Amino acid sequence: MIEIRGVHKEFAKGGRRVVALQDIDLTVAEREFVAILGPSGCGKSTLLNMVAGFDQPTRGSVRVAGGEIAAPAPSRGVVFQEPALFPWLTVMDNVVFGPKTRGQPAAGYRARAAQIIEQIGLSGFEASYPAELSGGMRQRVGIARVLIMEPKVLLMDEPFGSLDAQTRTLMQELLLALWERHHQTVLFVTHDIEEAVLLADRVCVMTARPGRIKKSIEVRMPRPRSIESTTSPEFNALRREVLDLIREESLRAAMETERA
Amino acid sequence: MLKRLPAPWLLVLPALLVALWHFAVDLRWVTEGLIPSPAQVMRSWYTWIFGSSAAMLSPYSGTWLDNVAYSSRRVLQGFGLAALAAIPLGLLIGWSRLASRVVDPTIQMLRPVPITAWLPFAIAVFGIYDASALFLIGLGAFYPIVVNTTHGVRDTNLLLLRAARMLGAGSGTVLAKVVFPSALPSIFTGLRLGIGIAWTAVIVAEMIAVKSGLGYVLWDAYYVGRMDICVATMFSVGLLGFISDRIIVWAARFLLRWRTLEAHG
Amino acid sequence: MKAIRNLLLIFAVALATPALAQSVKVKQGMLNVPALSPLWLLPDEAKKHGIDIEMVMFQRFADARTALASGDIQITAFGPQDISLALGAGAKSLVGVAGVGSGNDCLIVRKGEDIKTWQEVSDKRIGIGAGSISWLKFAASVQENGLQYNKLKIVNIVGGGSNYLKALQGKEIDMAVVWHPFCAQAIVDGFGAYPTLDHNRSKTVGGLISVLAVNRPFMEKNRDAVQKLVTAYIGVLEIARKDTGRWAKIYAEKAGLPENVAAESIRTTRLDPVMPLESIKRISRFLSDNGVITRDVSGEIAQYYTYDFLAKATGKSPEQLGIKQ
Repeated sequence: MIEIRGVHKEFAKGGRRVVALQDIDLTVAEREFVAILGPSGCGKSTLLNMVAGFDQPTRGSVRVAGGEIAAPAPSRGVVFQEPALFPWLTVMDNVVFGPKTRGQPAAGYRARAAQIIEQIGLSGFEASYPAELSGGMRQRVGIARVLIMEPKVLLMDEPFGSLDAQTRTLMQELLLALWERHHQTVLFVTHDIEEAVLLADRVCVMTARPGRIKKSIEVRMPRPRSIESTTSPEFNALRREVLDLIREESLRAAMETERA
Repeated sequence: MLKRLPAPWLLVLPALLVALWHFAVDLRWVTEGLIPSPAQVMRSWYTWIFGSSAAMLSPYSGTWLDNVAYSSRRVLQGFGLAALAAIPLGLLIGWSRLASRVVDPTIQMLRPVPITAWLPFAIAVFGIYDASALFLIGLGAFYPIVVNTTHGVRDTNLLLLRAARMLGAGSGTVLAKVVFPSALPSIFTGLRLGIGIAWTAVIVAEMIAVKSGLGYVLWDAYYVGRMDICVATMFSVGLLGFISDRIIVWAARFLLRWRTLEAHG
Repeated sequence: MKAIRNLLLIFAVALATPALAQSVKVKQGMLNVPALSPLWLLPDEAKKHGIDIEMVMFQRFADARTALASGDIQITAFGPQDISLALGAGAKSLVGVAGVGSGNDCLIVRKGEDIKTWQEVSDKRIGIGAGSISWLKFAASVQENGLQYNKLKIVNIVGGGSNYLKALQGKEIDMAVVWHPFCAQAIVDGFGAYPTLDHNRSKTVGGLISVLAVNRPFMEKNRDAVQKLVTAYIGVLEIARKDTGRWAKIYAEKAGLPENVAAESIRTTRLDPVMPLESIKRISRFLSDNGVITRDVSGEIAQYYTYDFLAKATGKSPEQLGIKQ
């Protein structure tokens, strides 16, 4: 579904050339849930932005469903780090923004919107404004407005990073439930090891800058998963494996920051 | 916690200033007869509003409402024209780097020129008709509106733009449905500043050639030494400017309801 | 060395200053209108009497009037209504000491579009310089001929007479009620003409154009200086009357006008130091009757004019100088 070949990304920063990504090769199969895990500054968000179409690689290619990526599109739905809802629109209006912009008939999308709003647990909040919602609720709307477009690919950039621990847990469970329904192809960026192992079929660990894929670890835990899964021995073993990989890179990233 | 100041406290400073003014005149700190006393101003203002508008040579009796109506119409028309021109232009300059490079320097160069300096030009081009007045009032209101609109556009959250494009919006839709609503708070700031300047400009503008209006009365009164009417005019313009400002603030509050809400979480 | 030299310098200046203080310093407010143009000759004449005049230019009569009332200037000339206007607002520091003459105000229309009667005025657009004596004469004439002033199509143009001429030429107004040199300019340029109508004939306002006035506190401390000024002023009028060429030339130079415009401007001006007090009282009454000022000052206005200096300078009696006119 997603084919990343030989991707290299560099940019100029204050007169110096900075290499963000180096030699990235990654394939995500259809309906596969892949987590990208790495220390801060390793370029994982940059990689996601290229799949989304917000950015272009300096060298190499990114293909989705066989086609080169030219620009952002609803078939590659993005859930951002901040919910980025339109503050002047209600929850309902935020959710139907996509279909409405595309000129789809109202009868169709309003019904779907109501359904999705129920699925994310915000029934009754259709007429509320984002300012009236908590961070977790806003992020749920952020997911809903993407899901209503029935995307082939779901791109999520540390979507639960700014939430507190309890809310984050709830959101992870929600995401698992939603994914069980629709099984989209998902590319999920995070720095949280447990989150990655819990949600994904495969965890790709990235190195510190310049970012490369250090190792890809299969998560062979049975689905459907839930929070309980985080207490199983398999989970712990995987978590330790990933942790060891990550620790090296985190240290290196920290040292580079000190040097810079 | 700071308690909200009860209304009477708001009057302390004005009351002090009026008292100072009264004594300055009474005790002759200024040459007698050059500055009117507060009482004189109030009396003359009263006559101006409620007096009989008999066959008078000078428009200082019973003509206040007419003058207010005339000036208000000028201000609204000039301001309206300014907003109509400035908001789209501001959106364009904020959105397009090319437009910014081409148009912005000219606007910034013309901005420091005061309205009074435009007066001869206005008379030469538009003659002594209302068009001159509208031009000057509109010019004054134009700059704050365009500058604030541009600012509002440039301030748009990048993620909102990305979200819109990701959801399938083309450039036109992004501009209309995301950039414009996002810039509205700044646009309203510009409108508030603009209406204030429009009222300032009405004095200059009505110097040209009109039969009524607050600016006309101010100059006419000065020529015949009626400083009491001059001061009453100043107060009138201040009052009307204040009211106009409040109207815009309420309109903003209404249209931008979403800004004042709080999370119930 | 330098310090000693500086000290010596300061001593020298301190000793010399009393000597310099012999001549009286006076600030004269001036406007660039033909009515006041003889006053360009006043500084030279006043020097002969030991008065040192510094000219201060003003754009508007209202500014000169205010400056005189506050004492920023000590002498100036303005219209016969100005002291009444100031008194009506409570200012008591102006004193009229001499007249300046008549004939300077004028009406001007476009060539070929004469206005013959006062009735015709009701559907013309009139450009007026508010607050001027020309305006008063016009308003008084209008009323005396049975018309209502505020029913007329009055256009108040401010900012100088050239705007009147532009408006007249551009057909934005049909008649301008102004004063020379603007009418002269229109005549000389060829697009203007004097109408048959004459507004210098009203019973109330009459024909007086200007009065010479001084600041009262200054006058009370320097009666000697004021006398010298009035005497010098009478001398100036003599010079201007005898040598209109020189008068026109100096006016043309100071106002930046071509000589033919200046000549036309002063052609109809009659210089006369007479102050018609009854006329001034009628003007005051007219102002309060028409709501321009808030109280009737015609009863007190006589206290703000004095014939003492004029009588001494001309050797004539107050009756001859207009106290009963």
